[in-house]
Amino acid sequence: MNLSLRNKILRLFLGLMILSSVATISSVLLATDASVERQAQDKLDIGKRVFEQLMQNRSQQLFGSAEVLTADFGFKGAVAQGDKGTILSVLENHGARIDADLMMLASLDGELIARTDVSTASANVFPFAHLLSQAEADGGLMTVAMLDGKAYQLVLLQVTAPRPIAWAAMGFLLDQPLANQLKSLTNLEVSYSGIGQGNKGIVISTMPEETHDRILNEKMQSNDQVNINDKPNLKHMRFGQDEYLSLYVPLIETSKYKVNAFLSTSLSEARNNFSPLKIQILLVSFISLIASVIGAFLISSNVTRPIKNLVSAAQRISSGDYSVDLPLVNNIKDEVNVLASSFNVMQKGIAEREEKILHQAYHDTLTGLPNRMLATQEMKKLIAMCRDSESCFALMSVNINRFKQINDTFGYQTGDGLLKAFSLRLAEVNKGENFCARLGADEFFVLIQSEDHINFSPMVEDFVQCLSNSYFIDDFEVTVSLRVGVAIFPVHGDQTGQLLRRTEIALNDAKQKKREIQFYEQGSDAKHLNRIRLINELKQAISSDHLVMYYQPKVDLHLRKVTQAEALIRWFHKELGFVSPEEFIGLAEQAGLMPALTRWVLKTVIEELSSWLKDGVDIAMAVNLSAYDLAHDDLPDYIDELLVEYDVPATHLILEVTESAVIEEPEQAMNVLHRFKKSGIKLAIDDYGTGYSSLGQLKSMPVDELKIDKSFVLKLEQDTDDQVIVRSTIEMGHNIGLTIVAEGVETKAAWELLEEYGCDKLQGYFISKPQSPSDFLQWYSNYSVDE
Amino acid sequence: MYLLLLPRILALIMFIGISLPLSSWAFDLQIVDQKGEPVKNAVVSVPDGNIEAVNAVPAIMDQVKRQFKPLVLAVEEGREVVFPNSDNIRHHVYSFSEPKKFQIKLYKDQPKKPIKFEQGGVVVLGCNIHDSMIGYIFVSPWPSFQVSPESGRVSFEGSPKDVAIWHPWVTGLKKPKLISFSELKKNNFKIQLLLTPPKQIKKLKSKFNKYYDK
Repeated sequence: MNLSLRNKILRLFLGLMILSSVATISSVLLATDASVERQAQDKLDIGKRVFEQLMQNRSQQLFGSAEVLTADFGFKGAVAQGDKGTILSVLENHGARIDADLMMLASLDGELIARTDVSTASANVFPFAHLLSQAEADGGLMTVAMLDGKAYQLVLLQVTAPRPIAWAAMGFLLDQPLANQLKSLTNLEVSYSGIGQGNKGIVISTMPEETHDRILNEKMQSNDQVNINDKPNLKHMRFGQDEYLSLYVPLIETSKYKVNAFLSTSLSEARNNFSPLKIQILLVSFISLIASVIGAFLISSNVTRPIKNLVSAAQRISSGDYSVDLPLVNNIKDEVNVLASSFNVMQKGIAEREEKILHQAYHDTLTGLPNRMLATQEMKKLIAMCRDSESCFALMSVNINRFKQINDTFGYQTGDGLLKAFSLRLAEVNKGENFCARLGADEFFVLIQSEDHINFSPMVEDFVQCLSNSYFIDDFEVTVSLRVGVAIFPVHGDQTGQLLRRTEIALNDAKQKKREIQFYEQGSDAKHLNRIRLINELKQAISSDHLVMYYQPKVDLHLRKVTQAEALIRWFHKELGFVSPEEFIGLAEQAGLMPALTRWVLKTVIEELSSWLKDGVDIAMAVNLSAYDLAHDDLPDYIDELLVEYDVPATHLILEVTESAVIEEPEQAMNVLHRFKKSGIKLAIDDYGTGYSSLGQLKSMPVDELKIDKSFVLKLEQDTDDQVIVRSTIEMGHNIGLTIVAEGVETKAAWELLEEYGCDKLQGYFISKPQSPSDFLQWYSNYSVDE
Repeated sequence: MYLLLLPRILALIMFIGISLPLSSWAFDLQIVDQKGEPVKNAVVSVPDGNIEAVNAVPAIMDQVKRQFKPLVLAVEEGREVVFPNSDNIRHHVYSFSEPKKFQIKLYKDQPKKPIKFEQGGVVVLGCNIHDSMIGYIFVSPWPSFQVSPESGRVSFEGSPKDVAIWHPWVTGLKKPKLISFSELKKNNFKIQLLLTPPKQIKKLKSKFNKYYDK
């Protein structure tokens, strides 16, 4: 990331520099090219004017000479008299004066009279007869003409005596010396090209030989529109390395021949004049490019180095190393430094907070003792250590007996004070030798090392003795008793979890047996594990269909028929078979499964009841509630919803609660019971006679029924004490307006006694055991009370 | 003596012919150019008869304001012509024409002697100093000829077979052109000539640039 940032900066700088260099160079190149072109054009323009002036001067010279010739009286006379000898001599004489290349005389009809150049093939013909009509019309002619593959500047003038009698022609050859002379005057390359009938064309030029063909061809294309900046006569001509700009000057074009001039200037040469400048500019651009590369590299490094530092600092922090501070550069308060110092502050803060969090994570906030996590770690270490040294240690789980009551009695502040004092005492007793921790509310944890596990018993006893002494908290003297579970490594286990669990089991045993110290007993663990397994399976059973409801009828002795049934839960375990409700309901309470279980039962029963009522089975259903169910507010709403959902009248539902369930949280339980009552649900006190409640208490409860516990009924006909209790209970119950139900009716004698005592409803094996819904319905349809 | 009188008699006859237009053997000719304008300086002659008497008085070809005057002078064969110079500058009159080649080198006033034109034909006169000066002397081998005046009208007697006509501005006309009398009659005695007046010689130099100046 660091590298790519630097690269980005570098790339940006380089891109900009290259762009500007290219722009500069190309603009210079374009400008010089344009300048070269323009200068060449200017040069050609000027050269053309000079060229034309020179050509004109030559024509004027010719013309002047011709005028002198044709005005010569002697010449006129010679012509008039046809004196050829004289004529030729006069022509030669005049020609020599101006160094003319061509001197001729022809009749008005175009017949040759005389000519000085007799060496050529067409010596006896006047070659310019075709020009005479034009010359006559204009009174003379200055032109350029081709003759025998050569181009001439030509003047035709009449000889008059005084009427016209002949034509005189004088000409200058357009030859190499002329081209050279013109070149030296115009500083341009000068070329003449001429094409006549029947010859391949001639080129007179100061340009190199190899360009001549091209010059001739250019002339051939002269009629094409070749435009350079709307200057039709300008042409670029390239010969190998050399490029010329040429100005095309047409001199004459007739049906018989064409003569043109080319003025050329070398662009390559002109460009070469600029090449030192170009090299300089390229050099400057290159140097500035190198300089900017170095500059960009330095800048990008300067920018990215602190970022790199920050990145590695962040990586260091994330890996948990807070020791190194970022260096501040030059003490300047720039962004990078501010960021770096912020980083340092942040790092320090993180380190402090982490230390605090770590301490909190491993220590108890109230007492400052290590917590369960640290205890577990410590124990792992100790196990490893003891394994190596083949020594052993005891793991003590220490509980303050009835700490809740202390809390309730003295208040939480005192409770907390006790815990702190207890912790201090613990540390004191240990003298730093043993490891102590607080695992939970009043649960402490001590590791005692020893060479031999037989020594543990007195050690633990001493320990407990010291801790059990009175504590003075806020002027209160608090006496505590302890419950201590002990497991020994490696005797009771060599794994952390195993040891902890077994210590816990030992502690539970101590609590149940109300003993101060309980060492783990072999085999306790299996029972414990069995419970845990059952709890897990119960969870699954609730969600699947391994739980079923059985129904046991109650007979109304006044109406003499079955009016109610008690719903009883049954668990048929696929391996264990029938599991007793007492067992698994106890488990469910401990495992917090009661809400789910109760809801399942209520839903199943009400659904069943709904279908029975529809089938005309007019029975009210009784469901047992636990203390847990009464301790929570949400059950009444749930039942109301169920009744509405399955269209069951509230009067057909009876909720049975035990005395003890009400007594645990009386206010809360009463509140819930009243809400049931308000919905129209009937309430019954179950197992009456086993608890401590008085009839006075019952009176204040919104109950309708009292169920006499079966322990009073089972042996009723034999036990007279039971007879007295049952009889008086029925009477007293009736007195406060309750319906009395007797459970556990197993014999006809019991039935008759109860009927005699005035009991309202009977329930028991004598009538029917609990049955599955289908069996129950079948039984119900056949049953009659008086048979 | 008689011979000398003959032209006069002839002249008298001619005069009578002119003065007697109703005479059955007299006719008028009207000479016009291509535009129908009267043509002067046309020489009309009757190509018939022989010259019996030559006027002894020399004819005059004057030079006035650098022009020959008249432009066209008609004389019979054998007549003498004087070339007086009325300008106050000198002239150099010459002729390279076949009927009479001569030159009178630079002179003023009267030349020393007249020139005698003995051979018929057209003699073109020039001045070696002044190229623009051109004059013509029509030397007639026949006795009857006239030069048309401004009106372009000439009169002749009788009814000859042909008439001959010459004008210096008819291109290529080196000898008089014959026209039959019947054709004259048919054309109602009107002769039309295609005249090409000599051009003023222009300054050639001004035209020069066109070959180079595009």
